[in-house]
Amino acid sequence: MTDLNTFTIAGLKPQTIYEPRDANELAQILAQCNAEKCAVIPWGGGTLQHLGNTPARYDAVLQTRNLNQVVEYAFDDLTITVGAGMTLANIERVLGENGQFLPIDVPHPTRATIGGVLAAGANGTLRLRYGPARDYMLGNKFATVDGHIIKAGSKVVKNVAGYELHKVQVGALGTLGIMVEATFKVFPKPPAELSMWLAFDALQNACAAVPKIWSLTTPPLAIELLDASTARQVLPNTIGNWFVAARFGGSKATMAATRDLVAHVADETGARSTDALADTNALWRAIADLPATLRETSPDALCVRMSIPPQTLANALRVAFDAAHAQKLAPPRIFAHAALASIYAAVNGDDAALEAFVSKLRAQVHELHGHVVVERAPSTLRKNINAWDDTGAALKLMQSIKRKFDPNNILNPGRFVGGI
Amino acid sequence: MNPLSPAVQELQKLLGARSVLWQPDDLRVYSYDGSNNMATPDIVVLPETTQQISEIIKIARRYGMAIVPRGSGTGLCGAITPIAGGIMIAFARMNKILEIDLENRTALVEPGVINLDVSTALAPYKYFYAPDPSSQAACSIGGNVANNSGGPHCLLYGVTANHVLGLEVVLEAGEILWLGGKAPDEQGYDLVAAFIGSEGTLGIITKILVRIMPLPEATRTLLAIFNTIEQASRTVSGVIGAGVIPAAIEMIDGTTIRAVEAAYNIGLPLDADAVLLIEVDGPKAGIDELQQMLADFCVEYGARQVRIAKNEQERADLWKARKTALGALGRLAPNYYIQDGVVPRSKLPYILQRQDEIAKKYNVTIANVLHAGDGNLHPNILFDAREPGALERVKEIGGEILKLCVAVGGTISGEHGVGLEKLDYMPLLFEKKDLDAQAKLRDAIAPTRILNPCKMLPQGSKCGEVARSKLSTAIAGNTDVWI
Ligand SMILES: Cc1cc2nc3c(=O)[nH]c(=O)nc-3n(C[C@H](O)[C@H](O)[C@H](O)COP(=O)(O)OP(=O)(O)OC[C@H]3O[C@@H](n4cnc5c(N)ncnc54)[C@H](O)[C@@H]3O)c2cc1C
Repeated sequence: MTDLNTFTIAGLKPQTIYEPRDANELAQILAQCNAEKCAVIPWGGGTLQHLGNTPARYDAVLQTRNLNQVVEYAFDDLTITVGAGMTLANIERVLGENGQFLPIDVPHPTRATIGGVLAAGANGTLRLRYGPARDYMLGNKFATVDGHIIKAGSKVVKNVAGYELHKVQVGALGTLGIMVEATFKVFPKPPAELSMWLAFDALQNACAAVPKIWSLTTPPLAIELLDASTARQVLPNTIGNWFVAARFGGSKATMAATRDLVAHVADETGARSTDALADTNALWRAIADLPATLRETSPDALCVRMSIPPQTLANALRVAFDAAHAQKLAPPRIFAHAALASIYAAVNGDDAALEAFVSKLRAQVHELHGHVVVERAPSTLRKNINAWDDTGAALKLMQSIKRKFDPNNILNPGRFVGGI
Repeated sequence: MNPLSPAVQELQKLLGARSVLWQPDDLRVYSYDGSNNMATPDIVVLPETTQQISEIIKIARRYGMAIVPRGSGTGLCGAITPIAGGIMIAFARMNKILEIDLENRTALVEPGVINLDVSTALAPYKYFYAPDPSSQAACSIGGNVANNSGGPHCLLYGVTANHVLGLEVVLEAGEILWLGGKAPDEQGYDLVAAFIGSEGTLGIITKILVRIMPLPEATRTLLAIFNTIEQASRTVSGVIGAGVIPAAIEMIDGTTIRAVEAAYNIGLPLDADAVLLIEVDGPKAGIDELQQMLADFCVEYGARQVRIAKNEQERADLWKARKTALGALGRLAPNYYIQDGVVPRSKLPYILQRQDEIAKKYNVTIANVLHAGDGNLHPNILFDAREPGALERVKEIGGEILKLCVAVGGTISGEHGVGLEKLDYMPLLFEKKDLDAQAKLRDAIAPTRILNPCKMLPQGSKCGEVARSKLSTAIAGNTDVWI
């Protein structure tokens, strides 16, 4: 794969593509780039490269896809160490052989690499139950611009020796170093599962069901909110305007009891229908893919992710609709991790209206103590819109960390928060 | 210090005389934590607000004095030992629960709030705060965050880091900063993660937004009794390996059982070599099956008896055995030296056997209380500190155990922290370049090292004295000269 076009970001192309065979070679190349002050974009599967601002400079791509091995899998300890270039699908396959899994269900698992997903701080539906990746990432190795491979954290499930450098890299968008290896605590698959699909006529009722399901005595694995457009992507013939998909895991007995509990919530909140779905692997895969589906079904849509306190779900959705309405835009298409609330919204329109939409949305979401990340913008708009929301006074510390780890500013320059 | 020293006077003006301690008798109490380390601060202050802390730091900077934050002093690694002297900030008066927000599942607390008080305050709402160090009746949330503490139920629920959503911190220049919050996916570098477990070296934590959870509907507690510690440890790795994750699996060895019995008479079998305390929780539907499955597991792996707590009182009694274990060791010897290594869970049988060999070789008694489900060892080496050289010897034994932990892929501290105690062992885990990278993170956030100097990262055995003499130059801006 040496076609430079594959690596286009916001119209920019690299001059060089490096595809190191292993971590040591990767570190050497990185050091060489640093010596030449050549701007490097680390590249896993490329599934999340739409994130962030236009690179300030872009000279080379550093691909991690050869770092695709299982380094160590201690299945009886429920820990695994993998190369950063390993795809999520391959990790899933290896763990699946022992009835285990890594609860990172993000789009495009056959291409998305674990290093890329960690760097992007991406999270899926299962975060509700298992936490964000940094909670069960036990340690890692990363290459620094001076050519070292640094070990951080450990390979055991508890460790407090030293600063948690590995966690600081989760969500850092590869601006501090390039991850070459990561160790995780993995989880046993629940013996049985239950997936409930609730259909509603009104958004208000769907939103009311979310905290009730979250508070059931069986802690849910995931609670997702879908509008009609996204719901039909995953369940074509479903009828209704708003949908709540809830997933549970546990023993058969627990699942049987939970089914009744959810049905009760559906009654209480006026759902038009409630179904327990069978054979739901494909359904949950499709739901996990929705952030990407939203982008891909409309290549010129503006796609935002709103992160908000859980309680403000209904308000935040109202704010999004109002902001679109004010610019005479069609209502945003919506998919949300509904309980630990992040809302994906896609809107189409002309640049001026979209720009105004984002600034209005941001202002109002700030009032809810949330923030709005523009995940993808039409290319003509991209330069005018900051992908990141305000980071406040903490930015100074972030810049200081960046300077320590990448003094020449060669790693993904300009793409991260506050111009980092 | 004396009352006329300008630092004391400035602090008294800021906080009032009753909130500034400087007399040797008052300071002595603040010279210890739960470990065998000891050093006396020059001044202790008891602020009540974040703003005061910001001012205290500015005063400390003016006088070139180190700042050492102190929670409840239950730490086990000398992380609060003020080896460079200076001003100790104690949080005893910042102990308010500021907000309980059930809808967003958070509680906002001051750092001096006692861990158990959070769950007690939440109980009427049927919520709880999951991290539960065995010291939870005494330790503070601020200390928990600074140490990234664990506890028995961290097996299922995860350690402190997994339950902290936001922090208010005061940086070394006195600047007050909010990190994280109630919305997920805070943008930028995960500074909350950086501050958790930073042992007071990066900033002073003044407010903590913790995640709270609904109490599980049902809880079952089992006590499995074994004739050999090997059977017990094989049970642990067997249960985990089979993909069953209880809420807690704690192990108490025979030596400790006998000490606990002598002290509290709970009814544990005096002739057992080990017991496992296993707890499962979750929805009522299915819990009995889970309990049975675990009981069967224990029997299959050789438990001679499995007792099941029939009610809350019996459950409390079983936990009492665990939570009072360290205290009870005082019956066996005047002192104990506790270690905190971690091994992959499948290596528990091996490590416990090797540890036994070490005990025999050095002719010491080791009493074991383990967070076994997480592979977190707590060997307590018994000794008498009055015997010359005894402390040095137990430290040597502790070091040997830690080396073994690292050799099988584990670590030198699972939850107690590095502090002063584990500094010498950091190179077992990390090469110089790794430690240098960690130092970069610290220096990016707290370059002058006025905050809890000489902790976390090895900086030479003379660090305390060097810090004392060089702090003022460092603060003047020339950080290179310092250590
Ligand atoms: C009997 C017993 C049982 C224990 N069981 C466990 C256990 O199960 N699990 C476990 O993890 N630990 C356990 N510990 C160890 C200890 O209780 C924990 O480390 C605890 O978190 C320390 O809390 P503390 O309030 O006493 O903090 P301290 O010991 O006072 O301080 C600990 C660290 O926190 C820093 N600090 C305190 N407050 C702040 C603040 N506001 N801002 C910045 N830094 C701050 C200090 O500088 C120091 O580095 C046990 C200790 C004892 C004595």
